[in-house]
Amino acid sequence: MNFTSLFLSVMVNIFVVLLLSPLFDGFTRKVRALIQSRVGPPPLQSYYDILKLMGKEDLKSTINPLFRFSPYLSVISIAMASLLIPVTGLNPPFNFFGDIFLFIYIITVVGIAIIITASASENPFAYVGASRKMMLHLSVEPILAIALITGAINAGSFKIGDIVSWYHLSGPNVSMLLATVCVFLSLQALIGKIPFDISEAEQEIAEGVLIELSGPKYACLKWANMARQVLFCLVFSQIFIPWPITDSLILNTLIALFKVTIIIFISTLIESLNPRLRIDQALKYNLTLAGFSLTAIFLALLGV
Amino acid sequence: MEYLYFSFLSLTLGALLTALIRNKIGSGVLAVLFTSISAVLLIDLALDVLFNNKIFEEEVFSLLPLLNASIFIRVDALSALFLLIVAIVSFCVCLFSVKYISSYSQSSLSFYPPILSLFASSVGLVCIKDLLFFILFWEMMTLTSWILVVFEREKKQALKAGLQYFIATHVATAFLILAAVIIYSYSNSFEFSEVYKSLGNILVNNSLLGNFLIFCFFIAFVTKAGVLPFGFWLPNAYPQPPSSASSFFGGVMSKLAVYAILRFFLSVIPLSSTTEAWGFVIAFFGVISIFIGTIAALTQDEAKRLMSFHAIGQVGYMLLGIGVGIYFIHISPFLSVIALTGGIFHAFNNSIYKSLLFLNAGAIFYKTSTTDLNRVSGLIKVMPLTALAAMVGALSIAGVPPFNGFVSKLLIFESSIWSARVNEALFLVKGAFIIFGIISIFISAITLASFLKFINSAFMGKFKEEDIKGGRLSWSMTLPQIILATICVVTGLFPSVPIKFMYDAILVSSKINLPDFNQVFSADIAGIGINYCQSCLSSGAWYPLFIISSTIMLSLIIFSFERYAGAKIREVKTWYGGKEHTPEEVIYTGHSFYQPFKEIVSFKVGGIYFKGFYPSEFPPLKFAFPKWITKIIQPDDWFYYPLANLISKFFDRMSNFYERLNRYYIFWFVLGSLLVGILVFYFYGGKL
Repeated sequence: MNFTSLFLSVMVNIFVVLLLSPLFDGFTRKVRALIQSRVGPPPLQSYYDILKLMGKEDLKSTINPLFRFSPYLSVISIAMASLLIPVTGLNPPFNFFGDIFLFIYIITVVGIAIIITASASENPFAYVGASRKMMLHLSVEPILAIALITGAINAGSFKIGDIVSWYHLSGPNVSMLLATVCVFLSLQALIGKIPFDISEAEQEIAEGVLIELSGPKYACLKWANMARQVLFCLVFSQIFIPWPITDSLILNTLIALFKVTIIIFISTLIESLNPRLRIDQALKYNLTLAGFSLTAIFLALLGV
Repeated sequence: MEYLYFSFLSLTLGALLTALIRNKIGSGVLAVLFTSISAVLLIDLALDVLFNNKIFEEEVFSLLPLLNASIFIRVDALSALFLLIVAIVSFCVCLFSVKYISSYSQSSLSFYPPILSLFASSVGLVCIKDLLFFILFWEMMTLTSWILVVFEREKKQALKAGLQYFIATHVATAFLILAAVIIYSYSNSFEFSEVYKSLGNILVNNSLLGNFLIFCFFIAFVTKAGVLPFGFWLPNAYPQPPSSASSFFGGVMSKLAVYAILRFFLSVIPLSSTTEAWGFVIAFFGVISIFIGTIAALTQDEAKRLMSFHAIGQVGYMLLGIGVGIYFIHISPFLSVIALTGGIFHAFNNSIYKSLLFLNAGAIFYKTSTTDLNRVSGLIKVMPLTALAAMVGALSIAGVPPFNGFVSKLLIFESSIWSARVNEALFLVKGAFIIFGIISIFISAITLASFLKFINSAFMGKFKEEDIKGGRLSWSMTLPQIILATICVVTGLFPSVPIKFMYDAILVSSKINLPDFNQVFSADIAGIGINYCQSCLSSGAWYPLFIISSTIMLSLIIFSFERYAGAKIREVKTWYGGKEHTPEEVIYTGHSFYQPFKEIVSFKVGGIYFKGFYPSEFPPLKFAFPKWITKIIQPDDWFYYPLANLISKFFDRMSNFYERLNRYYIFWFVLGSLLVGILVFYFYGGKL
C-alpha cells in the first residue's frame, strides 16, 4: 500500500466513523420517530446538538485533572480503532501496525475513558453507571474476541486485513457463519443501545456515566457514542460480511456505507421495540452467548 | 564479574550494619546507601551481559573433599534479566521504606536486616549453577521473607499467615531436597550440567523416577510462585508485611520461582517428547490460577489482598506462556520461542508494575492507616503523582496499550491460540490451549475491572479530609513509584529492545536449537512483527510508535477544537438529583462495585462458600471418633482425674484432721509427752 492510498484510506475511515456518525444518529432518530408515529427531528439534528454543546458552559464539579482529559480520550480511541477496520478495500489502513488484540484493547480503552470520566466526576450515579459499564464490557468483550479469533484460526493470521482477505477469497464456512451470528446477537451490547444501555439508563440513574458532563465534554462523549455505533456496525459489515468488494475505492466506501445503513436500521428496530434489560439479565445473556460462541472455535479447529 | 561479589558483599554488609542501628531513619538511609551501591553494580553487570551477550562463569568455593558441590556462578542473559529486576525493585523498595517504616511502631531491626538478606539471597539464587547451593539460597530466601511476614507479631492474623507460609514453603523445600538427594545418588555431583546428564539417563532407564523428580521440582516451584491450588498461603501471607516488603514479595520473589521453573525446564531437565508433556501441566495450572485468582481478586475489598490475588493470577499468565513454550519446543520452535519470550517478558513487566502497585497501596496506608477500599476515597487530591503512577500500573497489569503489560500478554495470547495451526499437535491439546488463551483474554478484562475498582475507590470520588495524616507525600516515597511507572511506559513504547533480551535469555539457557531472532520477530525501533513459522509473513504485530504518533495528532486536533469553541468554565457542586447530601453520604464504596457479577461468580457447594470461585468460608469441622477410642486416647478422664481426685481428697481430709486437732495442741503436747514417758518407761523396764 503506497503512501497516497494509505493517506486516503485513513481519511476515509476517520471521515466515515467520526464525521458521518451524527448523520447516522440522525437517521436512527428519524426511524425511531416513524415507529413511534412522530415527525422527528431533521436528519442533521445531531450535528446541531454537538455544535451547540461545544459552545455551552463547561460545568466543573471536581478538580480532578483526569476529568478534563478522559472525554477526549474516548473520541480519540474510537478514531484509532476505526483505522484498524477495512472500509476502502480488503485491508485496513493500519493493517501492518496491529492485529485483532490491538483492536480489542483499543475498544477497551474507549470503555476505560468513559469509566474514568464517570468516576472522576465524583457523582454516585456516575459510579453506578461506571460499574455497570465495566461489567457489560467484560461480558461482551469475549464474544467479539472469540469471533475474531475464529477468523484468525481460519485465516492463519491475526491481522484483520489477512482475515478479511481470506474470508473474501474462500467464502463463508460454518464456523465463520456461527461467529457472525454471535457478533450480530451481541451487536446491541457492543453499541450500548437498548436493551443494553444499562450504564446510561436515563430513567433509573439519570444517564449514569454522563450525569456530571456538560458543554464540550458532553458533546465529546455523545459524539463518541454515535461514532461507536458506526464503528461496530462497520466491524460487523466489513469483517464478517466482506462482500461485495470491488477495485474502486469510492465504490467500496459507498457499499460499506450502504451496509452500515441497513445494519443501523435493524439495530434501531431492535432498540425501539424492546425494553431495557436489568444488568444481571444482560450479564447472563452475554456470558451464555460467549460460552455458545466457543463452538465456533472448535468448528474452526476442525476446519469447517 | 567482581561487580556481582561487591554487590552481594554490600548487601550482606548492609544487613549486618542495619542490625546494629536502632534509629529508624538512620538504618533506613544506610540500607538505601548499600542497596543503591549494589543496584548500580548489578545494573551495570546485567546490561553488560545483555548488550554484549556475554556469559560469566566462575567457581568461587568448593566443598570437594566432603561433597561434590561448589558455589559455581554463571551469569547468562536469563540471570542478568532477573538481576536487573532485583536491582531496580530492591532500590525502589528501600528508598520507599525510609519514611514508610517510621509509621510503624515496630523496631526497624526486624525489617532492614531481613529484607537486605532477602535481596542478597535473591541475587545469589539467580546466579548459582549448583543444586545444593541453589537450595541453600532458596531456603535463605524463604526464611528471611518469613521474618518479614511476621513483622507485626502482635497481630494474630500475621502469625497465622506466617505459620501457613512457613509450612507450605517448607513442604515445597522438602520436595526440592528429596529430588536433590535422589539425583545426587545417581550423578554424584550437584552441578546443573551433571544433573542434566544424569536426569537424562534416569528418564531413559527409569521414566517413573525421572518424572517423579520433575514432579518434585514442579511442586516446589509452583508452591513458591503461588500457583493455585498450591498457593493457598499467598493471599494470606502477602498482605501481612509492610507494603514495601510486600512489593518485593509480589514483584520479585514470586517471579524468582518462575525463574526457577524456566531455569530447570530449559537447562536442567532434558526436554524430550515425554517431558514436554509437563508443558501442558504447567499451562493447565497456570490457567487455573489465572481464572480463580483473578476472579477472586475482583471480590476483594482490601487493596493489598486484592493485589495478592492478582499476584496469583499474573503468575498464571507467565506459566501459560512458559507451558506453551515447553510443550511446542520440538514440535514448533517458532511458536515456542514466541511463547517463552512472552512468558519471560511478562515476568519482567509484572515485577515492575506489581511492585509499583504494592508501593501505591503502601502510600495509601501511610496516609490513611488503612488499605480497606471501603474507607478511602478521593486521594488524588493529596497524592496526585501516586494516583498517576497507580493509573499506569493498573493499565499495565490490565494489558492496555501502549503500556508494557500489553506486549507480553499479546505474545502469550497469540502463541496459545496459534497452537491451532500446529498440525502435529493432538486435537484435544490444541482445543485446550485455545480455551486457555480465551480464558486469559477474558480474565484480562476482569483484571482491568478490578484495578479500575482500586483506582476508582481509592483515588477518585469525594475526598474525606479527616482521615488524612500530614501533608503531601515526601519525595522519597514518590520517586520509587515514578521510576517504576516510567519503566512501565518506556518498555511498552519500545518493546523491541527488551524482546531481544528475552530472546537471548531463552537461547542461552536452553540446550535446543531455536530459530534466529530475525526469523521470529521483525523488530525495529517502531515496534515488532511476529512470525509463527518459517514460510509465513508476520502474522501478528504491534507498532506502538505509529499508534502513539497518530493519537497525539488527533488529540491535538480535538483539544484545539475545544479551545476554538471557547466554552466558559464554571465550578459547581456535584448534582445529586436535586437533594442536599454531605459527601460522606454519597461515597460509592469499593464493595459496591460489580455486585451482580460477584453474585454470578459466588456460590455455595456443600457448606463451603466460594467467593469468586475461591473458597472463602469453610463450615466448622465436625469429626467424631468412636467413643471407646476417645476414651482410650483421653486417659485423663478414666485414670488421671479419678486418681488425682482420690489423692487430693485424702490429703484434704488429712489437713482437715490436722487443723481440727491443731487447736488442742497442748492436749497433743501432753499426750505426746505421756506417750514418750510411757515408751521410755517401757524400754528401761521400770528401772529408772
